[in-house]
Amino acid sequence: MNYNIDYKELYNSFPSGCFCSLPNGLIIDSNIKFLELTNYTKKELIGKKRFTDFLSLGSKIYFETVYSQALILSGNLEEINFDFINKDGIKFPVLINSIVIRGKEGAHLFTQSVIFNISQRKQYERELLISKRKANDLSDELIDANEELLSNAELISKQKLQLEKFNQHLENKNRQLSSFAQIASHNLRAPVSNLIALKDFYKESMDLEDKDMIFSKVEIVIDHLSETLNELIDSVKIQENEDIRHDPIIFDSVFVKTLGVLDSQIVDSKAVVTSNFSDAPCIKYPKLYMESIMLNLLSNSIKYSSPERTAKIHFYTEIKNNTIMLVITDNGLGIDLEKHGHKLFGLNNTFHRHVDSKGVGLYMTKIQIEAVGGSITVESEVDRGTTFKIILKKNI
Amino acid sequence: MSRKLPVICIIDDDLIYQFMLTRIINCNHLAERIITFSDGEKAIQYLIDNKATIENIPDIIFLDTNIPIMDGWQFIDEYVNIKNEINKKVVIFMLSSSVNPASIERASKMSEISKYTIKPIKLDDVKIFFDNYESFLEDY
Repeated sequence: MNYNIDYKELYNSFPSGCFCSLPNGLIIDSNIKFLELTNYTKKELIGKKRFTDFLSLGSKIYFETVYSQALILSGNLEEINFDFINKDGIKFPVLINSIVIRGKEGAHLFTQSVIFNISQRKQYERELLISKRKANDLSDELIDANEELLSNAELISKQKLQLEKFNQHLENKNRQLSSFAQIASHNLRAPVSNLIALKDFYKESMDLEDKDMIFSKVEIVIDHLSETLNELIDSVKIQENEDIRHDPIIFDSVFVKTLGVLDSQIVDSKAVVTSNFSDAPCIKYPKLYMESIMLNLLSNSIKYSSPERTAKIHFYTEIKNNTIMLVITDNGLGIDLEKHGHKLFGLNNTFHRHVDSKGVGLYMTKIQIEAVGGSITVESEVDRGTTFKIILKKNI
Repeated sequence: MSRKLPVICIIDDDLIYQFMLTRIINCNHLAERIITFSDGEKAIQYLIDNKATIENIPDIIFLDTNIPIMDGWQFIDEYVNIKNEINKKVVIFMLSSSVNPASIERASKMSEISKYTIKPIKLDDVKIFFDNYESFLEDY
């Protein structure tokens, strides 16, 4: 197909402002669109105005110092943004593409330029920027809120932990108190009421020999009472002494010391006492308590060994879930836990018909272990043996 | 009154208390005979061994709750198992130094326990028991 294109018409009706200028900037030709943008007539513009005449001050400085230099050097520039001001003082943003036209010798003859009014695009960009800024602000807010939530969650879980700890502490105290009340009611009330009754007997008795006999009973009760009181005072001391010093302890040396203390009982009973502390050879723990715990449990195991077989008693340590455990296991008489489990660690509870049965040791042992935040459990089978498991310390 | 005096059983590990209760009963000639035990297991064994010999079975048992090896409550549990084999009605007085309301509640729910008394027990109380123990047999 052959179109007969009128280039002059195309130039004039071209939808962007086109103009041609001399190296000094003077505009020597323009199309109609450019005239429309400037709002000048051809007569007012051609040979009289420069492109810089339509620029804001900032744009003018940029044009002279950067744009014109760069254009000469590179020969063409595209999409440079300037603030354009027309005859009526109306300001709008434009983009300009320019190309340098050179003669055969390479001399700069003139410059051809096209400008586009980009008001709408700028507006759109501004809106986009505003939206983006808003989105950023919102995102910042969200990040802040999220951080706050996280720190709140952390605080809450910390507080929860503290509460749980506090609760455990309270429960412990509560248990101690109720067991203390129980002990006070049984272990003190009984001997005191006995004393009162004996006093009445003593008063009523006419016979001197009978009076002596009654008084000997009074003495027994007084001894028993003072012993019970001392035990109670000891246990209260332990329960109150929460800040007791934790000494570095080597299990084996306390064990050897315990063997020394109980030497005669071990020899008499022919018990075989062994140990293995290799899993946890040492711990920071109140030394006095550790000695008392080992002493009580070993003497307990010896005391309740079976007469029908050689007593075997084994001490060992274990680390489980960040917890140091001390385990004492024997092949002795055992305890019927279903019958006696609930009062195994009570004061003055005994479960065996035995000369030395006094029932203080396990009570004190439990009090000491709990005072440091640990616990003691027991597994036993009658005539098979007993195993005491002590959680000494959590979260080592 | 020509009533036959009862056979008394005292189960208590508090030897002082055993002594005092025995003394009150003996001084007032309230019993034909007193049998004492320091723990529940020995007492229940005695009942099992003598269940066929009526005259050895006590009429009244003073039972302490807190006794070793087999405590007062466990003694009652065991006694329930053998009481049908004993051809005698036995009145059980539970004695305790515990003022714990749970214990009192527990005792009141056990039909085998005729009375729950908190120690110390006074002479007058003992006399009232002896005067009235037969009435307990009726609602038994």
